Amino acid sequence: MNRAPRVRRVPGTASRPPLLDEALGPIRAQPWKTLLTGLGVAVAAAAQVLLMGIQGMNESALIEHVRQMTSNEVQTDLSRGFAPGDTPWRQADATLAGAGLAQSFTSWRLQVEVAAVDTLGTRTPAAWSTVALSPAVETREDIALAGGSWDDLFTTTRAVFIGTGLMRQDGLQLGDTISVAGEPMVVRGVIASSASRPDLLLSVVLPDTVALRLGGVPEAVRTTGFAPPGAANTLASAVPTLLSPEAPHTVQARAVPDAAPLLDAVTADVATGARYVGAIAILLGFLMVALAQYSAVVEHLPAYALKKSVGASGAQLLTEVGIQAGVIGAVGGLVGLAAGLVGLTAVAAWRDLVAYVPWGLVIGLPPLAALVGALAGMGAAARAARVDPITFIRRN
Amino acid sequence: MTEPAEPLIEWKDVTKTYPGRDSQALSTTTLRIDNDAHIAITGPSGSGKTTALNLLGLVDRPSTGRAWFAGTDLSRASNRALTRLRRRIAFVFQEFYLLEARTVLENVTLPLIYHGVPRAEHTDAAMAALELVGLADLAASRANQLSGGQRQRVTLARAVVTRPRLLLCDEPTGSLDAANADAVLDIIDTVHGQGAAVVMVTHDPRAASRAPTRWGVSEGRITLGVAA
Ligand SMILES: Nc1ncnc2c1ncn2[C@@H]1O[C@H](COP(=O)(O)OP(=O)(O)OP(=O)(O)O)[C@@H](O)[C@H]1O
Ligand SMILES: [Mg+2]
Repeated sequence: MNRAPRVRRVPGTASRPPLLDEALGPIRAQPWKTLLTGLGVAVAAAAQVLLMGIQGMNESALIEHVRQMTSNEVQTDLSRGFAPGDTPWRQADATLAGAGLAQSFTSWRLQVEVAAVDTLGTRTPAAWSTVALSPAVETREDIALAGGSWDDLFTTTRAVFIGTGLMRQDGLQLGDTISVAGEPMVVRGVIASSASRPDLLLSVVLPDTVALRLGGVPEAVRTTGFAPPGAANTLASAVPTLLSPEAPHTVQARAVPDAAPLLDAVTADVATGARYVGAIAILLGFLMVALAQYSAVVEHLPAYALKKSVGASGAQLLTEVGIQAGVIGAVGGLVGLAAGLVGLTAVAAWRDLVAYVPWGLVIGLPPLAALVGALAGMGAAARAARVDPITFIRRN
Repeated sequence: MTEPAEPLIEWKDVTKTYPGRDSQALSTTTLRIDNDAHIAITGPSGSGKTTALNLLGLVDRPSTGRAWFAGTDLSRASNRALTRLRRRIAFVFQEFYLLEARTVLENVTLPLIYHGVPRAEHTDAAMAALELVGLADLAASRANQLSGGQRQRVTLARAVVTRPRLLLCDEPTGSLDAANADAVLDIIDTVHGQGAAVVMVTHDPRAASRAPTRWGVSEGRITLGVAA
């Protein structure tokens, strides 16, 4: 009886609520108009992606830049049986100093037994690491003492220093006696802070001469010092050949990064600017969708009145127009996202930077854009919902 | 006999005064429309016919008086309840309002969308309604490609697709030639025969003569049982 009508079926519509289809109808019918309406949101989204991306790229470039400028500390590990005071070591030290390494001192870890000693003389073995330091550590400005002076360590017999961490963790105090390789030693000073060598804060520290006597010639020693500003990387790469031309692989040298505090201050400024621009763009996008939707609804008021006269409730029309505006926003957001990412890639290629993708934004932007669209469409939606079917009936 | 069947519509002292107007556009004492009513309303222009139809169709509210639809006291009904009741009523006007850019089938399907009818039933229901008005062949045509008579039949199909309890027609044949008018009146008779109450405003004596019940309206007053 029923002839199958020749109607175009949109694939995948069977499971969608009919009201959603009704809402999407005009968008499917006029995709270009949708795109145009969502253009403001698209521009806002693209601006946001670009800004955050460029900011991200700037930041990584800045980090690299600042790192090279400020990080001028070089650590060199020598693993050829150097012992402080012997001829090869003195030659190596002189070579490093000649290459521009300042405030350099030598250290190594000892493999000896350490133990806490109480007032009765009872020994309790402890797991503290033991580090030997050369007297040149005195010149280091980044290593601060909380008690004692370096002289106390290097000129007093049986003196050790401890890191502040041991003091807090294990209750060691100035004047305590501990046992190192069976010999009693007295704690004469405390290392309070050390930017480049945090390991010292959890160590027992001995003078290099005492360490040589107790632990013998170390297998490897580390020399750390400061290169002239900006030269840390260059120096670090040159050091192995300088110290050991025939076997450079036995020497490992690296620049120590330390740029974090400066960076925070710089990027906070940039981020604030980006946020302002993004906020203005999103406001414009909001207004565009709001105006376009409102005028579209007013233009089609008779159609909404007709829908109401055949049984549409205000809530249904509100939903219908709201969904439309939300989809317009989402489309704008997606287009802007794509444009922004293309732009970012271009900027990265042009400025020869590593492209930075703000993933949080990529994921959050489409739903956010949909929300902005839906909110912008609320005025229009309310107008459609309020339409009086009589005004339309009255036109005749 | 058991108690008399509940009327579809009952009015007590309903009046309508439009804002900014001194005189009443409509003034009634009692009025009753049964579930199987078939009523033609006639009267001069400006007498209040459309006003009455709007009140009957729940798209406008009385200024005073009380009204019931299917037992519901309308003065106490929420907006939501009113929307639900409105869905049992369908309108047909002198002008054949359609969504021009859409197909005939889509126009007839429109009420089903808002009545929450499952999509799977849309095409069958719409095609059955188009069958009834004899336009199944044109289901896929655009509304703006139809003649006046065809358009009015589409609005009739759209009106009956939700199987309304009350069909309200305001000059349904006013813009049609005799042949098309007869076709439309035949369809309205069929809809009434299928169980809907019909109230039709008309200037056309031939149209009025088809209704067993005739009311006259004059200066806002409805006189029941006027002869054709
Ligand atoms: N929305 C309105 N605002 C103010 N006055 C109105 C409104 N609608 C109708 N009226 C007035 O109410 C009276 C009755 O109008 P109504 O439309 O009901 O007449 P009608 O009988 O349908 O006339 P016609 O046969 O010309 O369609 C008229 O005086 C009209 O001007
Ligand atoms: Mg009228």
